[in-house]
Amino acid sequence: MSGTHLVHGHPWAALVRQVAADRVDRAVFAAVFVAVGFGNSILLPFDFTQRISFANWGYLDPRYLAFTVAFALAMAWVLTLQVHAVREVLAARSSADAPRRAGPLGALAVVVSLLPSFLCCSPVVPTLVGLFGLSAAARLRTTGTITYFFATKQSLLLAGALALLVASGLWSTRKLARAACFAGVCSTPAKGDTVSAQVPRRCADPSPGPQGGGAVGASVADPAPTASGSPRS
Amino acid sequence: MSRRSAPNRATTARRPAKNRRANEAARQAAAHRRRLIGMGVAGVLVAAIIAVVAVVASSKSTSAPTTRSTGVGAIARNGSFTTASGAQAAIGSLRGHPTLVWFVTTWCSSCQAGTQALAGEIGHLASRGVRVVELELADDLGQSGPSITAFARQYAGAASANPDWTWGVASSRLTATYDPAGELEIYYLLDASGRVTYVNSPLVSTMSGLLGAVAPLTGNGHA
Repeated sequence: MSGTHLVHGHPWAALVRQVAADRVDRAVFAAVFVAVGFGNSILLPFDFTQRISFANWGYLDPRYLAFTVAFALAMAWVLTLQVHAVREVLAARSSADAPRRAGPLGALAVVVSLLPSFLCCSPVVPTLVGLFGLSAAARLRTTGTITYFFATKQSLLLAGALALLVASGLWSTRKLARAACFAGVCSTPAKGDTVSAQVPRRCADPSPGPQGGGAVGASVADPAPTASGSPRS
Repeated sequence: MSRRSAPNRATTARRPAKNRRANEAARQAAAHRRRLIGMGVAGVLVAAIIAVVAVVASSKSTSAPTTRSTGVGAIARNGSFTTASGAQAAIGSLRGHPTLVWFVTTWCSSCQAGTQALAGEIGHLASRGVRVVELELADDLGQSGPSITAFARQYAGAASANPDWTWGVASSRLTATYDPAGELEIYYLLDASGRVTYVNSPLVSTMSGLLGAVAPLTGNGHA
């Protein structure tokens, strides 16, 4: 975990630097990015082949590629923040909760992004519609309507899923940045001071929250940080 | 009642506060662990749903339709369609040559991909005496898609003009007969006597199976 919680400028920037400096967080980010990117690259073109296979890579167009990269980055950030928050709590450095809504929102974004690929052109919708005992004409019409929607609105659904995930990431970042601030870690070092000599100050954010006095004491007394204030991985 | 000294009272007062903070931290840590486990379970569920969909898609594509008139081994039931040139034709008129009858919707991704793939194989099929009849499902299943002619030009290119590749639109009755489940694409391989020998979808992913089914129909060359 990072051994210092210096904030230079915006708390969000400090949180990003803190996460980027932590070895475990970097590993989580990289692993999630690769896994989600790989999975999306195969699953998105599923509607072309109706198979989960490497042959789907032959149908990756610029739109799918751009979405895959952006979605993987956003998902990696959301999950890294979740892990970071849990580790912060376990290390008793923050008394605030991790963002609760980020996990379900992220899962919803994944489902929404894959709906067009899996519901268009596959036998899933005809099978489900067939369970309702409709007449042949009604069955054909209903199937056509549902699958046509997913076939023609795929870009919209992908954009919506990405927006949902980005919103989830922004919300999580804000919550964690504020939580770190309220734990008394918004210290600004004077020139030449060591970390242990710094006096934590209250953040500018006027929203109420836990004082985190114990966490402040812990961070000031933490022996790990170097004199330059660089975080410990 | 004996009075406690001030320092002892302060020490006693700090102990419950410290215990409360420790309990609070432990409670939050447990809550976060539960949340992580929940996220993990949700992730597994999403992966399981994806796997189920993939398995359903794969299994449905290899099963024959439920109607007796269009199952493997049955004589293909007659039905009418309109060719791209406006002529009326019927399934029964296709006898005499092995024929691939493929029903598609012109707005379906796998149909587009399959047509592109078929354009690469049409020469091979034609050399073995197999004719291809690609029919748009009646009214494109009630949705607006490109016409079969525009679809053919866009996805088959120059190969769409191959004389062994017929384009057309299926009648409503033909659609209901050969696509009772409302799938966006399904194809039937008929032998020269009009008997159904192979049924599958999507074409793009089952091309090798189709070519394998064609081989016994044509022997060394033309039927």
